[in-house]
Amino acid sequence: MAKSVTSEGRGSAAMRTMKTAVELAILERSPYPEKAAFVNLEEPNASDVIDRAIEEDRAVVLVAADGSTRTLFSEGRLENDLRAPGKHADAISNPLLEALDKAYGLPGKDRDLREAVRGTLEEALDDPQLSASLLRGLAILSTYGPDRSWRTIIDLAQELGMAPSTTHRYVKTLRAVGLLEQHPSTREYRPTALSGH
Amino acid sequence: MSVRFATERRDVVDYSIVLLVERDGLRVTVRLYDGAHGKNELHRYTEQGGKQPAEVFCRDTLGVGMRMAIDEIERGYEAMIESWLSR
Repeated sequence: MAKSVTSEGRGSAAMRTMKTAVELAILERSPYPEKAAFVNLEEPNASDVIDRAIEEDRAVVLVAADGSTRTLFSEGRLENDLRAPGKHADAISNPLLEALDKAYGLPGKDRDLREAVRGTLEEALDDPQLSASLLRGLAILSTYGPDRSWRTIIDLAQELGMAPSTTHRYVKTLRAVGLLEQHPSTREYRPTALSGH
Repeated sequence: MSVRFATERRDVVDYSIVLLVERDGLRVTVRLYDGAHGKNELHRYTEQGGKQPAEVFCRDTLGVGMRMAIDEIERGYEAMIESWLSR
């Protein structure tokens, strides 16, 4: 008697990841490379798909059964899941937060430095050669002092003069790469703590 | 269901959605939706006759067709398997 194959099927984590990836690509909000092939690692002929994608100079997004992804670039570089909060915290957030803490940690200079950083970022936003998205993300981080107090999206949006929806998108991105963490009950955000702090 | 697809910027440029059943330890195709020829095509399979000629099931973009194919399989996979068994 035949039975349907459900391991890659309806409601599985891998399937949810695939469907989300399509929706995000269509909305131009995909966190994956622009030219990519998506394949479920459980598939018996996944290696054929990978070979073909690499021949076409396409990155391969490998989707595991638990829905996590790894991206294999044509030059052989393998990048872990960017969607999982915290995975990149040590690699990415520590050096940046360390620099921010160091800057903000100077006695008596906290407010002045923060305002100087803000001013610089606002000026930089007028330069079309610079990435506005990155600058806005840095502006969000620059609103936090060394005490890392929790802040709401509305609070951040008002301080930066940004739309709450836009602020939410940037905050969500910063959280996805481990730069911000979210309070489990109040839903407020703050920079992720440095290890050993 | 087996899903694979390729994107370029916001466009789905190719996809393959396959409904499979496992019989005697082997995976057998029941239905295949794909965008291999730049069109949203469907291949029915029968237990006796194998792969049937392609039918265009959606005249919209491959992205729309792909989502439609997933929905169709999720909603109707039992009927598809019954149909495959009866032919």
